[in-house]
Amino acid sequence: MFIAVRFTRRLGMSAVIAAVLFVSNGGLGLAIGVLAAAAATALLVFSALSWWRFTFMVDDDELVVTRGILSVERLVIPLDRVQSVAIEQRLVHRFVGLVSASVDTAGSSGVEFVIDAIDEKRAEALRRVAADSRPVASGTEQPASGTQELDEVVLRRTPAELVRVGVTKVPWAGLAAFAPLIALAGELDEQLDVGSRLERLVDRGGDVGGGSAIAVTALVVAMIVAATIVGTVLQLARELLTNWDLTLVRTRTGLRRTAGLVSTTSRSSTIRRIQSITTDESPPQRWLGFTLLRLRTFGENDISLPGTRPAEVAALRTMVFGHADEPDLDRSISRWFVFKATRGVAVVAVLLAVPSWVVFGWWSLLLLGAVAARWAAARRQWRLRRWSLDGDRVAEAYRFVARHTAEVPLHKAQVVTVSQSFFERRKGLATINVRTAAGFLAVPLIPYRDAAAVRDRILLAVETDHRRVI
Amino acid sequence: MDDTNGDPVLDFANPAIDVSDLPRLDDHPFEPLDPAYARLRTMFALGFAGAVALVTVASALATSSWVAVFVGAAALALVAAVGTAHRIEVAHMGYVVREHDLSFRRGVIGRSVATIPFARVQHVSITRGPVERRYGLASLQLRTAGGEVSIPGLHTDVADRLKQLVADRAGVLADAEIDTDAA
Repeated sequence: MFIAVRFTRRLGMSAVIAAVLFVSNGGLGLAIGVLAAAAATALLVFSALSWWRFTFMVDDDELVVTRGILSVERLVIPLDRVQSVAIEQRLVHRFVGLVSASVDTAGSSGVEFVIDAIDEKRAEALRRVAADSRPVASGTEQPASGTQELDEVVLRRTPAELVRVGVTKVPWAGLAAFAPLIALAGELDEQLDVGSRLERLVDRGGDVGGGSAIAVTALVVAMIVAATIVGTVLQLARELLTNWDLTLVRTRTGLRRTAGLVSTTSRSSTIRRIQSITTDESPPQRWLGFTLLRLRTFGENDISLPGTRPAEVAALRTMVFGHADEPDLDRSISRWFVFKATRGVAVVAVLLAVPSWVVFGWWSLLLLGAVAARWAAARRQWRLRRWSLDGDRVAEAYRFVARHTAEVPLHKAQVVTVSQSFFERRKGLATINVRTAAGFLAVPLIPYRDAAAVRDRILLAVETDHRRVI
Repeated sequence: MDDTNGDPVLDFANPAIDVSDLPRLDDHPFEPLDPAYARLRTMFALGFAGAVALVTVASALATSSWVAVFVGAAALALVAAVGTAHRIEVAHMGYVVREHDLSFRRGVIGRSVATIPFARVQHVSITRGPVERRYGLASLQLRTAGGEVSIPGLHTDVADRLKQLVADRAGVLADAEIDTDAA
């Protein structure tokens, strides 16, 4: 039974859809049909074999995995090297009551391997065994037994909160994620001839309004409104599906995040693995007082927490930094930012204005309006861009419409780079780039002196702070 | 890191530091790369530019003598410019090793200095291509969990000693690390 399900997954939905379309189009020659059937059979056999050849076992303090059909691979992983076990239950899993467990190890930046299709109890047992075998610092007492009673819920999202998050997200971002669907809609549109109907509508509007320009404007506005509504609905659906019953639990070994309506995902990470904290919020979210908090971890399991309230942000900041102080964010970048951002647009505008003078005459000067617009936008970006070097972290914030902040503990830095572009060098400015094991933080156009000071401060922190960072 | 009270790690604290008192990387002179590296780079560039110039001059000669003179001059200028550019680029590269970190500087027009603390090094390796071997050169790569720095054009001995130094320092620092995750 489960082999069949795996088989469909391996084929991929796109392939299935392609096959269905192919058949429905009726252009199925006998030879091609045989070929398709043969390919499908081969995939089925391959899938079954790889399932059959995949075994794992926990032997004392080691996790042993063997896999491979022709060339057999055998992985032996000491359990105390297992950093996290993420358990995910997708829809196909749910039908058959199974989960997939992804194992992250200390040596790899990504997921070391995935054990697909094991029962939930076994996956939980694997996670518990791995968690229990993590080394305990000398001098601290180990709890007698059981990781469960120490679990403490840090935050939990109710459906109402998720609805608020979904509605206040930037709606068009959702459309981008569903671009394939929209392309499909475009196909439908062609079939149903919606386009020509709209054209007729526009024509009629032209008759009524006495000018088709008004009708076109109205149509564009209507399309934007429609896209916004559809986008919002999609965002809401996505939020509810992926983050249903989102719970963040503090366990003995770190944090565990579980969520999902149709397919359930469970991710855990040690607190040490968290490399930085970022927040993102749209204006309505800022007014309502919540944000999308991301704990960026080494590896692929970033912990993303939508709808996080200030108190919860403070609690999580305490876990990562040891205190709940907000970053100062009291420094701004050089005002040359505005000049630099506007310069490119200005050059293009002037280059375009000269030839268009021949065609449009004085109207071509309107192109220079773009320069003014870019200047105004850049000025706003510059005014709202902040950074700071606090006692133990470097932080930045920027906002145009949506606001973004990032905080990196100084001692988590892996590579620090101070660089100067030609422009920056002439103005005595520099860019500081702090790379951690999960992404980087870069502040451009700050005085060279400041950038060098931040670098030296970070190097001191790394030198004197002997806490492990990943 | 952990919010357990009395944790020795939290006593580590963060006293205010006067930034002007910090040891400054800018106070240290950068070591230049091996002169052989500049020769190698220049030779490669000259070889390429020379080949381009030869082809152009040959095709110019086929058309007319006047054009050939101009093209020949331009080709010479190109060869000289490319050679000089590579020399200048190599001359601007440099590295500095301090007790706790290694920095690599590069760039002529835009400049950058990348620093890796030894405590973050996960992997050190030396690469020597066939041409580098002939010149007695090697390049050193320091990898961390979040990026890497590669220093080209080191003398083989220097590269070996640097690798040893980094590996030793990283090993000592790894042993000194405090595991904060165990509660």
